[in-house]
Amino acid sequence: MKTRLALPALVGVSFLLMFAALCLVFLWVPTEATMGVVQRVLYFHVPLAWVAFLAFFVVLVGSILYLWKREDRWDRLAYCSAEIGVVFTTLNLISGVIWAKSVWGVWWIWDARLTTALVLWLIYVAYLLVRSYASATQARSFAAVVGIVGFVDVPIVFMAIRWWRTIHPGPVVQTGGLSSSMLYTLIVCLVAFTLFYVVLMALRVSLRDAEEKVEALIQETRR
Amino acid sequence: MGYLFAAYTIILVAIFAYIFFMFYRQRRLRGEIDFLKETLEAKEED
Repeated sequence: MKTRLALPALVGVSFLLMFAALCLVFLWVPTEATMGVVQRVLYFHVPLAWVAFLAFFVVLVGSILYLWKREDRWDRLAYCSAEIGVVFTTLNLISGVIWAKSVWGVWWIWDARLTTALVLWLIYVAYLLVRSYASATQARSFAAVVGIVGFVDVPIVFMAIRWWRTIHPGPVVQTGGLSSSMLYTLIVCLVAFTLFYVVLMALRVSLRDAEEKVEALIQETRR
Repeated sequence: MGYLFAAYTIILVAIFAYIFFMFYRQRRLRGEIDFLKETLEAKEED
């Protein structure tokens, strides 16, 4: 009974929190003086990136555990998290280019942060492709290696604005560059997206379970 | 303002589309699992 109610309850809380985050972004937080209204993209753009990093960290852990223990559940965890991570990174890139067009006047620039973020997206798209197109036993091991090695790019993306001279806005959270209301709104959005990630993972893992069950049943009917 | 609206619309539509896709696929897979189980049972009876 408890497990059956847990996921719907989590979905409900997640949607409510997302709705609250939208209300804060559009109705409460003040407009930033320099960039104007378009600065509000940040309240979703940044959490999308942070949660994508979290998703790829889960891929790293799942991949290591799969290569070590050779248990399918770790591969399943890594695969599902990679897919969600790619979705979040895609949306992060899209929101970023829209903001860039508005503020810089160009859709894209080969800046360190943008380039390393694009590389990150390509790495995990490659993970999903390897997972889909190689044979079953090979695919899981190859993909796990991609999932582990690919994670190297995550700290590079994060540190790009600190290590290199970039046009991308610098760190604002750690340097106190946000007012308290903006910081509060950003934190609420981050919590909302993190919970959303947990919900999406629960749904995706359940779906992956069903996919593997179908594959196993098909194999059995062919005997 | 247009850029802001576009960014949020794309994000929210994409997220809801992904969730909808998962629920839709889950329902289809449940149907497939039931069908395959029935096929296996019929095979065993034969």
